[in-house]
Order: sequence, then structure tokens, then C-alpha cells
Amino acid sequence: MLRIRSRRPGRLEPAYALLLLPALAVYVLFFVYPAAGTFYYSFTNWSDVHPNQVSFVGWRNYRSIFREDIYVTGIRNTLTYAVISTILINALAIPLAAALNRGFRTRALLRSVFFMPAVFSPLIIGFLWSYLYSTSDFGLINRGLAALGIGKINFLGDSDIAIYAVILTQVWQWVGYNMVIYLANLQSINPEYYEAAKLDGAGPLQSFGRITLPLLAPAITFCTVTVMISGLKVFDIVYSLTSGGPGHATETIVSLMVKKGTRRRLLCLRLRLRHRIRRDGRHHHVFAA
Amino acid sequence: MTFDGKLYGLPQASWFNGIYYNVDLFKKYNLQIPKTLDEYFAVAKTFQDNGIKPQAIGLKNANVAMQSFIALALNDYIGMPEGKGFDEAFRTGSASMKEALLPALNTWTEYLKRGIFTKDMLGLEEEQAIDEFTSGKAAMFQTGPWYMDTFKQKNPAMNIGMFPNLGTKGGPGWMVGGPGVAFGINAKSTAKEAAFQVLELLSTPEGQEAYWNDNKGGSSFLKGVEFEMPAEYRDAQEAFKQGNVYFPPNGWGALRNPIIDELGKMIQAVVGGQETPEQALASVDKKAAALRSK
Repeated sequence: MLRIRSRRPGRLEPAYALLLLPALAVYVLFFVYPAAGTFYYSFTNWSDVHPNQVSFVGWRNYRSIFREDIYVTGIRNTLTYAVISTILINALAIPLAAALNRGFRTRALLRSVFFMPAVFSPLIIGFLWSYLYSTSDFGLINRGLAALGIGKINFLGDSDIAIYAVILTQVWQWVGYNMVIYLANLQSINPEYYEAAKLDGAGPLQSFGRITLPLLAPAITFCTVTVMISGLKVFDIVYSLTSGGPGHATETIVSLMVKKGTRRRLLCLRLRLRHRIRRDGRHHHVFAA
Repeated sequence: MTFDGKLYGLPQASWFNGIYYNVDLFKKYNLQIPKTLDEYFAVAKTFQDNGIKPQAIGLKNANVAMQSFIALALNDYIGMPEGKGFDEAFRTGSASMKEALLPALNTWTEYLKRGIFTKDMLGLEEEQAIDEFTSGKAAMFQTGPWYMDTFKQKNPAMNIGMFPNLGTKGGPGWMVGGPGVAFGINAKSTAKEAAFQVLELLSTPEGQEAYWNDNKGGSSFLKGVEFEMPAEYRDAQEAFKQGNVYFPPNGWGALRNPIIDELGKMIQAVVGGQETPEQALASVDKKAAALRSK
């Protein structure tokens, strides 16, 4: 330890550098190179139909994104999703963790129950909730609402509320997971602080606001950032619950990328194959289906 | 499936969809099988008056929404002499959906105006729509023979028939459908011999029958092999006899899949009231143009 500390910071021994190389090579090959390549191609007219006739087009592709309503919808939905899910998940996970940090008999059981949804793939969650949300007479939630005398809510079929219905399932799924992270952080807080505060006459709310919250900062940072990141790239739950519908009402940035990129690419790959077979250079969009 | 005059694949059997109906419910209310869309709407009215959903439909699935519209478009335009060249013209860009299919889509909105299809159904999965059909809450359901086993499992006592998809002008009606999957063999496959044997076997009348047993209702492409259509499809006989089985997107070339998706989504938007029929088809045309110019 001492020897390392005595060295100048920032100098890398050749032996250590060598050990870093394999990981660095993989990282550059599978992340840096494709990312930089994608960035470069975003300023060109590259298309999968004409992959060899590439010329520079400046900002054209970027401008076209904002001209199409569907992309604007996608960006708006993604931001809505990321912000609301980040706020709700954290706002619910912290009090839940604080409550389940207290000593009572069913504590362990309740912790498992709240954590459980995080175990399932969002695809399964989507399948499950699409039944719960259903407007059919067999839809559980709407049945409950009907029993309460409230009318049917078309959770996934009403384009004004579908995105919020999607967010709700993800809040339900991920509150427990984030609660566990908050719990771990809570357990690292020295109980003596609370004792001291109590002696000084602080109530439970004051303790929570003045001790718990500030000392939870590391977990808050972690949870906020991770939930926000996964929110900005949300795709799986949208795909399984609504496929971006009804219409394009719940499309997100990634769901559009998948649709515009992959799905068409697959088609065009087939197309390109045909071109290669024909070798006559003409553009034939024909193929028997 | 041919390419440069060479045969690359031969479909095993055809697929189609039409309108399944609950025979007992039709009997109970003394209803005749509709032959035109107007007759269909009259039948629907009777069911509505008796608290039964005329037709279950899982509009949450964009493809389902597309199938319903394309069935009407097929009857009223694409399957008529004047619409014969539409698919080819749409593929190359010399015809637009808005010009050709707007009347059909306007007619299709009658389903909405009459409350047969509702916004609620945008929140319904196909499986849930099937539940409504097999439990007798709904009297009709558009799909193909692949769901027959599901119907029978869910309600073994149910009597089911099928009539073709209808249009405003009458006639034998149309089944939405076409050739099913074709098998191809990888030229570099290590199991090529075995694969050829499977193909050979499938190409015998016995093989066709075994294949057909799992997909009852389709017809064979093997000469001389004709299956007796199950009784359920009696009311659709005339459409089959006329060869009225067609899936327009099969003529759209590379536009097929993305446009199927966009058309379905836009039909959903029409149901939800976010787009007028005109806007919806214009949006599909715009997407088609973008795909053609790639």
C-alpha cells in the first residue's frame, strides 16, 4: 500500500497496462467503435438499401426527426416516463424502506413481498397487466372499479392515459427493488445519531428530515440516476403492454428506434440479398412474400 | 415463390380469415347469415338490442385492426375490377391509399358510428376478445381456422359457423388470406438429405392430409388433393369457389410489413378519434413514400 502511494499519481506500470489491454480492446471494439461509427453515419445519407453510396448531409437527419410528429411524441413520452417514474419510484421507496427498517415480526416477509415484482421480466409484467387493465368483462381492475360504482377506465386503449398506465406498472415493479437499496443505506446509519436527536427533543419527522434524508444521499443519487437511465431507454414494457399503441400514443425513443431500425433493416437485408442475386444494379423492391 | 424463373419454395397450404359466428345465437334471434354490410349492420342491431356485443375484436393489436379494414377494402375496392391493379400501383408509388381506399375507410367507420366497435376495444387483447366470443357475450369474431381448437377448448358445446368478410356491394364476399408458409432448405445444411425427405413426404397426399389436420380449413396446393371443408365453413363456400381469397399486403413488396404496422396503428388512431380517416391514410402514404425513397 505504502509503495503505491509513494508513486506519482497517474503513472501506469507497463505490467498493469498490459492487464488492462484485453478489456480495453473489447470495449473499443464493441462500444467505442460502433458508437463513433453510428455518430458519423448520422451525418450521412447512409441507408440500408444503398449502403455503398454514402455522402455527407450535415444536420439533415437530425432536423427530420423534429419534423415528424411521431418522433416528437416518442421524445415527449420518454421524458414523461423517465421523470414521472424517477419521482414516483424514489418518493415511494424511501418511506417504504424507512417503514420496513423498523423492528416488527412480518418485516422479512413484507420486504420479500415488495421486492418480488422486480424478479420478473418486464415482458411477463406486461402480459400480466394487460389482462389486469383489460376493458373486457374479465378485466380485474375494471371489474373492481365497476363494483365501486366507478365507470370503466380504458387504461391502455385511451391514448391520453395509456402512457401513465404503463408508468404505473413500472412504479409497481421497481419500488421494491429501490427500497432494498435504500434499506442497505439505512442500515449503515449509526443509530447513535437518532439517540442523540431524541435526547435533544427531536420528533420522528424531524429525525427523518434532518438525519435520515441527508445520510441517504448516496442511495438517493444511485437510485435516481439508475431509474432515470432505464427510463430514458425504456422499451420492453412498452412493447409488451401496448406495442407503442393505440396509434402511436405510447411510442418511446427506443421503441421507435427498434421499429424504424431493426424491423426495417431485416426487411431490407432480405432486399439487399435479392440485389446481390440479381447483380443487375436495378432497384427491385419486388419479392414474393 | 419464384425468382428469376426458378422455384424456391412452395407453400404447404393456404390461410384465410373470415367472420366466425355463434350459430345458436343466430338461431335464437332468428337471424339470417348477412350477405352485405347493410345486412350485417341489421344483424348487429338485433344483437345490440338484446344486450349482446355483435362482434368481439381485440383492437389493442394493430394487426387485428388492419385485418378488419383490409377485409372491407378488399370487398369494396381491391377485389373489384377497378381496384385490380392497386397493390402493384401502391408498391411502385403510382397509387395512394388516400385516393384509392378512403371510401372504404369511411364505410368502415360505420362500425364505430353504430357502436359495434368502440374505443373500449382498443384496450382488449385478442385472447380476451375470444373469451367474449366463446362465452356468448359476443356473437361474431373475425379470424381464421388456427383458433378453432381454442374455441372448442374454451366452449366445447358451442356451434360455430363462418361467413366471408362482407362489403357494401354484396356478391360472394372475400376471405382475407393467401399462401401459407413455404419451406426452404439451406444449401449448406448438414441435414439436407433428411430435409428433402421431409419435403418429399409433405408432398404426398398423406403428408398433405397430416399437415392439413393441424390447420383445417386451408386448401392444398398439391394437384389432385382436395380436402372436404369442415361443415363450419359451409357459408363461406361460394367465396372459396370464386377464388376470393387474397391478402393485399402480399402485393406491396418491401412495403408489406412496415405498412401493415402503420396501417393498423392508424386504424387504431381513427377508432380513438385522434385521426380522421383522411389523415390516417395520408399518414400511411407518407410512410410508404419514405420507404420507397430509401
